[in-house]
Amino acid sequence: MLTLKKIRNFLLPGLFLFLFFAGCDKIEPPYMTDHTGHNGAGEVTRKVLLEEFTGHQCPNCPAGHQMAKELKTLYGERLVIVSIHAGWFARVSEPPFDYDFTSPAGDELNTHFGVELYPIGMVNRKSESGSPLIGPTAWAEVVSQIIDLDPDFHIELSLNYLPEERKLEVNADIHALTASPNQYSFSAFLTEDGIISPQKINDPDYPSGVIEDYEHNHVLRKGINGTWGETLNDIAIQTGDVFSRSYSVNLDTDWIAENCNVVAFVYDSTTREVVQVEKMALP
Amino acid sequence: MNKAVRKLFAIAFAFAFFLTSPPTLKSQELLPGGRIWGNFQLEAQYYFSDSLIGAPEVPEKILMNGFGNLNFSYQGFTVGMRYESYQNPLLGYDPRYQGSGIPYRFASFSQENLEVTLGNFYEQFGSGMVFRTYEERDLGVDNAMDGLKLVYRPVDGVSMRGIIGRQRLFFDTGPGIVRGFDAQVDLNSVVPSLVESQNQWSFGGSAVSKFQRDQNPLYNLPENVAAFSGRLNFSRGAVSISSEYAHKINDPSAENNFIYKDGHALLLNASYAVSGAGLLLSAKRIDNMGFRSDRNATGNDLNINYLPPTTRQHLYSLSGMYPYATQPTGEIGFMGELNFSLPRETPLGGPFGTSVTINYSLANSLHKERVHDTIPVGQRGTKGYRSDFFRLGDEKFFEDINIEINRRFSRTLRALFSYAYITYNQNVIEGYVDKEMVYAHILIADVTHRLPQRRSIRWELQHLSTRQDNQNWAMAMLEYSIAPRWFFAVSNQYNYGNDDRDLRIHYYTLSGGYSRGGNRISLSYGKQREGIICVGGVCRQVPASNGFTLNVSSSF
Repeated sequence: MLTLKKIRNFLLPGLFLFLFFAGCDKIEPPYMTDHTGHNGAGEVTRKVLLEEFTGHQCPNCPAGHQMAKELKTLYGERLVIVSIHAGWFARVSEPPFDYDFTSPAGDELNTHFGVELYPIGMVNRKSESGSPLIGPTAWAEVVSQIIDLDPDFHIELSLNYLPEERKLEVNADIHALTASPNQYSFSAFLTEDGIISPQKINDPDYPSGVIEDYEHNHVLRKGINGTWGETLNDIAIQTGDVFSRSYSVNLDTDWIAENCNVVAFVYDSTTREVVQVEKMALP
Repeated sequence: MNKAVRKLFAIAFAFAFFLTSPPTLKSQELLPGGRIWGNFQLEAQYYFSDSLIGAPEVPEKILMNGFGNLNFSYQGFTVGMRYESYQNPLLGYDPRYQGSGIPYRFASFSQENLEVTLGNFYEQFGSGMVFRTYEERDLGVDNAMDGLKLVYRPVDGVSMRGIIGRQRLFFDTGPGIVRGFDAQVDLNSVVPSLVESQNQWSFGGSAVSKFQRDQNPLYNLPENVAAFSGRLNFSRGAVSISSEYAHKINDPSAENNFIYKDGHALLLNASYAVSGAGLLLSAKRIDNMGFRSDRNATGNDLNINYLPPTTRQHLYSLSGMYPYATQPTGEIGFMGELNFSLPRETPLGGPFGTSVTINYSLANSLHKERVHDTIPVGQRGTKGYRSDFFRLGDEKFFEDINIEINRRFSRTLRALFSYAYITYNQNVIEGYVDKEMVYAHILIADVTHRLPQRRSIRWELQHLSTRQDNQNWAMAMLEYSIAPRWFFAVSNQYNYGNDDRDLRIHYYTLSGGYSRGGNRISLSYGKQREGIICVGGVCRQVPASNGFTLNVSSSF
């Protein structure tokens, strides 16, 4: 039977434990941080590639686009976004969803990485818990962990566009900034901004569930040197090594050259983790 | 028949042969007073291509989930482990399970009033609304803790539990640390004047907090998030009442779209049971009570708590086609269930008596208001919304009214008849935005004929009628059992009402199984329709498939 002494013996430590485990942080407004201060440009820094898998018939994808946009506001040129339209939600169907945003490279990436949920993305294709695919709310944390690391490469791009032929010439010099025994590959994508086309949305402010004049940005159009690019080195890399690559690609007639960009990146051929990325608008 | 299928058959027969020879080693002989126990299970499937039913391509052709538990106890000391292997995970299971390993191992001992567990453990505080770790293999859910657990019982009727650790995430652990404390007091054991009382009272309280570093550059996030709950239970004779209220502080997460609103949950259960009749009533209100040890986790990953369902879990294939999944972001639910028996030797009860169960449940949205005119409900980086505690929202998530009649017609014939009318909000439960509300009528007959020499034949007829989704379905099943060893079954689900004639598909299955002692083996072939399976309000999507399935299980 319980006595006062016993009550004291277990209630006091119990109360102590209760208070100990109840540790919590009550956050007061403002809940969001000031979106400034990371837009540094000019010097060679590590830039981060965010590839988001999306689709114009994916109602939850505008929330992913918004998250990417907020990160872009925060990190400026140091964050490079590619929107990969692929899978079921990117399918072409009856109007107004009869525009084809997909690309062979996007389809291949979608299949290779086993994308089943949308929106989802990859930050530098860095694997978390065995998969590089992470939801939009986790992008910011992963970007913040990578973006301040010292750069391993510097990518210098020069572009020459011949409007009559709709031909784009891409020249890249990839400078190794640190020595590495790893094998690396180099990929270049063509992306387009400012495509106005309908997008499904899950938002009570849009009772129809569709935004007719949605602006699609960072849309992957083509893998300039294929989906996986090409190998840079067969032997260990030394600091100061420079690898030069040149490609040419023709733009489709419905792509607006002024809105197009080249996104070029270096990745570890074994882990597929991206180590540097550069973006340049067509001249 | 190709090579891989022949190989699967060979494995099945090899296991059947092995299982007929019981093990000769008695575990008790290993160490006097010691005990070894455990179990083993393997499920392998061979997949055929079937684009018509939407079955995904399986490059490996054969996929397998398997595990084995091995435990040993000796004089208050227990150690155990579970080996798991996914080569690769079966369709519908998270591909992050791929691989093999020992994700669960523990050692525990108890002496005097103290019990200590090191390593992995499962635990639940109260109804689980602030803390429950558990394993549900059918769902691919395992959020086991990896850390320490103490249970202390200072006097009869009082128990205190403390836990700390990280949660399992496939073959790894999540990023957050979970700490918790729970106390439970049985008043009738503790207070001398209540020992003889017919009124039985108990109460308890829990506090759980998680720590996860804030590395998000966009938000000021709480690194420590705590949840509390209090519970009170009462019973007297045929009446039993239980209640629990939980509160969680601001916990912006992927699940609630990073809003900073506190969470609340209330669960009330009452039951009354007398001979031949019983009444059960439940009510709950859930408001932003998702609680995970990784704020970015989604799906069934890293849940710290469990929100009990207040809807009936249907076990038949067509009545279970539209199951309800608890909505952690907000719902109000009610359930009532009345069961009674009609006496024997009466016109309604028949010669052997009849039992009847009538059940009704409803899950509805919360009423949510803007926190400010310019801020939409649920806007990221805000308080999210305001909600009156007792006010229902405009949206119905789920409603189910069903009646089940169980009747024995003779010594060899018994039957169950059931009718259910289910209202199912596909957009909310399955995450769509443009699907219709489903209204489904389901009729079921399940009849068992007992035959001589412990044999029996059981057959089911089911029909689901709806104008929405894939329209009407019919289902028939015939099962022949030779107790306690053998069973053989054939079944077919036919989507005969589908608007698209090409999708009026027969989902047939042939299966057979053999049991002996603690061993069981079964083999089936057939088509599985795409669907959702739920256990206790937690669900997972199952893709369509076509192929052979081998199940082997053994316990010792």
